[in-house]
Amino acid sequence: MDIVIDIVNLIFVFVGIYFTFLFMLLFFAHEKRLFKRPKPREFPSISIIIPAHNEEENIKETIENAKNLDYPRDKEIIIVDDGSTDRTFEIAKKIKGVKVLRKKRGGKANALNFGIKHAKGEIVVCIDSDSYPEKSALLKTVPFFEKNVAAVTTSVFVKDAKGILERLQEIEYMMIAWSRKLFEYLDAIYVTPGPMSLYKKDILQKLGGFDEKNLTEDIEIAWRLIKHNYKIKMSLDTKVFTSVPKTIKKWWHQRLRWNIGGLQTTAKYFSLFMKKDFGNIGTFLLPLFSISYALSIIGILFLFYIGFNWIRYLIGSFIFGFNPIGPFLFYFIPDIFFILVIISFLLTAFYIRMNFRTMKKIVEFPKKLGDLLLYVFIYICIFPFNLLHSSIKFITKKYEW
Amino acid sequence: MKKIFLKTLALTLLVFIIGFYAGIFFDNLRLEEVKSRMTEIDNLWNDVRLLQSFIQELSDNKGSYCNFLLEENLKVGDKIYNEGSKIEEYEKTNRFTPTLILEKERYALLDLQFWLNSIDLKNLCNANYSTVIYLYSQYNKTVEQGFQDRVLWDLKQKCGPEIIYITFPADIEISTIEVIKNIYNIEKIPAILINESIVFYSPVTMRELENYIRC
Repeated sequence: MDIVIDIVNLIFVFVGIYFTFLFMLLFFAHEKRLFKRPKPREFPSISIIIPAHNEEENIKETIENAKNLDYPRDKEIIIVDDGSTDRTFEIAKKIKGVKVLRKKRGGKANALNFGIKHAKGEIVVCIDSDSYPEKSALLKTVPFFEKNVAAVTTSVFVKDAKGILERLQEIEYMMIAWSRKLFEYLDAIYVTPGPMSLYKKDILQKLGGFDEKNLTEDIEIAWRLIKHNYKIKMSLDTKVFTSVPKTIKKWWHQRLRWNIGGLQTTAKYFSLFMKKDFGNIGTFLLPLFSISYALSIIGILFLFYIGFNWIRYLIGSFIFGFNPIGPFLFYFIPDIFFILVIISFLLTAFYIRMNFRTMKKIVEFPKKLGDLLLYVFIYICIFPFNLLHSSIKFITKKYEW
Repeated sequence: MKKIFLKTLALTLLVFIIGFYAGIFFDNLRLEEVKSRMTEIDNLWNDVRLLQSFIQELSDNKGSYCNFLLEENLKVGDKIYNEGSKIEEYEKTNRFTPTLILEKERYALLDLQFWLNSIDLKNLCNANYSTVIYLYSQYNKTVEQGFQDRVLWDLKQKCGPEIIYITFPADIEISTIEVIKNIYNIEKIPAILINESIVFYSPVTMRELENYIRC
């Protein structure tokens, strides 16, 4: 067993170092272009679609925010009330200058497809009902729609991060935004996030719209666009603020949905594994996701194995009468793993530093070092457990939106 | 696009190899440290043994030297024991440099000599300490063996100089160990030999051992 653990540990460290280096090289190669955007040649007509289900608390602010977005042409704003049982529809209906559609509950993807069907604009801008793009968001994102670009994504940040969980998500969102921009240089932006993403309507319709069976329609559509060799661009300095879960329970549930959606998407496109003709799905995204899933699950299994050994040790100490604490033989023994883990840790720290250095140009830098340490040593470590839970739900097909 | 993946791979391999060799370097440093400590203990041991021989051969009043000899023997025993613990710890770490096994053989030989000397001294000085010999497996480290290690370690901590505690791997290629196993009819390992008379097959609880050991 020891040799298996050693080999797996080496693979873990190797993969970790590889991807850290990959992102660093991408960063240094494109550092000066991160915030650049093409010059706008034209401003196509746009339709903003806001799907909403029981959003009476947010909907007014979201609509007002969407109405106030700067754009040189008229904007069509469509609110799709997806079978709300609260006052969402009534509140939206009262606001002038927006089209409010009402339908039976069918899920977010279904609501978006419904909205797209009624949209007149060449570009559809999908905005979550609890998300608030900055005023210049459209002006910054629309110019990215060059030839063959089917979608444009934005940097999503946390709105009013006050509690510790929200602050941790704030760091996470910052990391995600930066990493997603770097993925752009590999033509592998694997998600067009719900808080705000823009699509060319004709391409979206040609490909059949959002997948209504997928729990994360924003991941699935990105993969489908890549599969059909369309490009997805990201406007890094376009800020969209979104509400995030404030309780562990809601956070856990949200991540279950994200992970299950990711697993659904991976399974859907797995037949493209290592195939070259479908963008970078087969040669990059699928291997990346597969390795991530496999390593996370293996990591968890090892943790269980360690936990099992500890329990066995405690039971043994009780039966055989030895003291479970000790012997404390504190030798500083820097072995191969220690060296590699230190290298990996330093690279990660440097990676985070690069991220913050870049992102502080557009958002406020997280000030508390404690939050960052908590993020690195606790928050991230919870992910594999959620993934395991998601995998079980995915395999047993016990999931819903 | 391919270029960046290859570049990353090259860089990762480079760093990985550097890290790996740095680890091997530390492994070798540790090995050297163990070697030099073993030589030190070897010298110390030879000194004690020589001293004992001289006293046995030349002194008219051997009994008067007993306290001194017992003390010296115990000192060396503690050193051998501590070194053994350290080798065990290092062994867990030096997974990629198996040369530690040679040092372990050297350590086992020292332990065997120490044991023999302790028997001699016990007879010569009429000492009343107990000897606990733990023959464990080097190559088949089971969970039960781990428990037994811990029980015996606790026993040693509890009894201190009242017991001479000697551990050695019984499945490495040392002919003396085979002879010892034959003499005491030890059929399997891990096994515990108490006062050169009683053999227990592991796992044995602390309570059972305490019935046979005075401390």
